[in-house]
Amino acid sequence: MGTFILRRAVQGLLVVLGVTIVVFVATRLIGDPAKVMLPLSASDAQRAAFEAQFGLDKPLGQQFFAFLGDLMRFDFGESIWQRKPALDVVLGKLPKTLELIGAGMFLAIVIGIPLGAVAAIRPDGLFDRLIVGLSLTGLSIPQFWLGLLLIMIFAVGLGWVPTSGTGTLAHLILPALTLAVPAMARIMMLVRSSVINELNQQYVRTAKARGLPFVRVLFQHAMRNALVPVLTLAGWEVISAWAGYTVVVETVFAWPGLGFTAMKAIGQSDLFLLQAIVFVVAVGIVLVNILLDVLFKLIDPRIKDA
Amino acid sequence: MTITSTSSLPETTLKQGLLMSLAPVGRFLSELWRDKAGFAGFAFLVLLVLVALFAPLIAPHDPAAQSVMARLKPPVWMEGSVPGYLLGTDMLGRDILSRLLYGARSSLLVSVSVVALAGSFGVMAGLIAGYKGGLTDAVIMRIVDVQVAFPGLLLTLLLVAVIGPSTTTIIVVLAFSNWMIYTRVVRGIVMSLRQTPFIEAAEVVGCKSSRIIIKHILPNLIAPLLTLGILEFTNIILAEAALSFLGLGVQPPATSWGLDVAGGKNYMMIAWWPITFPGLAIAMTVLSINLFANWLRVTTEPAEREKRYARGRAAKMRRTKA
Repeated sequence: MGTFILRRAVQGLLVVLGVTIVVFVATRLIGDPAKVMLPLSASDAQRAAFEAQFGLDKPLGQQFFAFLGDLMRFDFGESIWQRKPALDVVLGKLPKTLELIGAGMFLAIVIGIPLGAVAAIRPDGLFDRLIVGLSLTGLSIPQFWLGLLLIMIFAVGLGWVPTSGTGTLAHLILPALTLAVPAMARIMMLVRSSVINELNQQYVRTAKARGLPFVRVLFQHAMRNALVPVLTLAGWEVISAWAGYTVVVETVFAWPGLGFTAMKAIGQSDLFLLQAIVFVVAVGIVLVNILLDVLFKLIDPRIKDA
Repeated sequence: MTITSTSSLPETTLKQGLLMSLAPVGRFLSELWRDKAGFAGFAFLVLLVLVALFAPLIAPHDPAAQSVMARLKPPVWMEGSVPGYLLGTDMLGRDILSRLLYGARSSLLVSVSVVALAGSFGVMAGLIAGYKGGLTDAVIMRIVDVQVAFPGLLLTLLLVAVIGPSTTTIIVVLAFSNWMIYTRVVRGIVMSLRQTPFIEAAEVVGCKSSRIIIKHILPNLIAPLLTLGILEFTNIILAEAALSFLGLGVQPPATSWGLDVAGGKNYMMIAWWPITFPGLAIAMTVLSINLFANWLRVTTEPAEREKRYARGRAAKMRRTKA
């Protein structure tokens, strides 16, 4: 187990190094920070002063190692927009994004798993067709549009919940639902197909022949085996939501998390803040990945070490 | 008179030739017809491509033409509409239908370019990794593993913000973040193909590796790649729409469905149509691709085909019994 975690950690370091290289190449070679962050009216002297302040006038190799050194000390520079260290801004916004992801994934799993399982009882039956149709629709609707439709119907039209903002459960329900829909659709489809697969197995026939009630066969026997791939998918959904797919939802609902802040940082040309967000999320992905791998190994010992 | 008599002979052979070349198309359509949802999806996609190609001929108005007099007019079936604006107008008095038709161009241009660019690079990397093996394989697959774990959308936002948003930028950036899936799939297939007798025979006979890859391996990749590529289309269309919605994709004066939804967002309290129709266009396009891809996946997989055939037979037997 120890070497397993160690190997994953080394792989994680490679990911962070990869992100560092891409960000460095993008910001220093392709783009010009002085051009992005200073107003168009800035004079040449201002530009030179800016470049000297952040070491942009030094050779590229030296710049890269300075960049790496700063990252290792968790020094992401100062957010120009907020006038405080970029890392503080990011850590301040982090809980809001985690809250949204938590609520969204909770909805996706709690709704997706039972509906998928019930649909699997009679493949091609009426309820199954309904669920398959709903899943396909959920996968096809762009999230930003779904969010706007929900606001138009439930906040503007019916007035049940506020249109945007944060604080109460009523604020959380629409953003969480919007984030959940594509994940829910994928989970439903996977649960459905793997339960159909399990219900065709010999052990299910044996259990039925012994006279066990069908509900027990479904939930205690078939579901247990069907859930292993579903857990993998759920973990992947958490990572992909965390990897930035909350940006759209947060923007639509003005939800003050990392994604919304990233869009603000772009609007304010605050490159340092944007860099800090990308790094914190990259490190987060690595940690969640390691956590999930360990978890899956504990649940299913058949998974190999590779 | 003479003209008709001389042209009658080549005309019949021409017709026969045309029929012969159309036969596979007919077979394809008749098989597709059995899956009504798949057929509907395919029909919508064909319509979409035609609309995108001939947008300047079909569109009733210039998509960028503004009119102060006709701002936020509802669709024709509602009260207060202006004739000639079938789906109403947006906050600048632009015809929504015409913008939808032109928006199809952006969606298709970006998605076709990204799938072609990411696909050809990804397939090439996968072929090399799978065929060469050893250190080359290890290096390529490690890069793939690392890049798959990148914070995808956030990194895309950072790249677009630094380079500056434009249609070219999103094509390049989306291709950069989407090539890995092709490499993984292709490498897996190539690895298993290398074990098969016909590849070994070709090697023993002394074929060059380029010939083996192009003549013997590539044809076996077409079916799985087709399904993968079509499914990737849906991802790219949704990504383009989301980026354009955020203001980081297609830039005005060009049109895009995502851009139109963003434009109508601030007026959604008083007018539902400027955001509803472009969003519906995105959803229907993606749904059509999903339905068609679903049919294609089942059709190209022998095991799935058999299951479908058995289900059809069972249903027929039930019907005749009843």
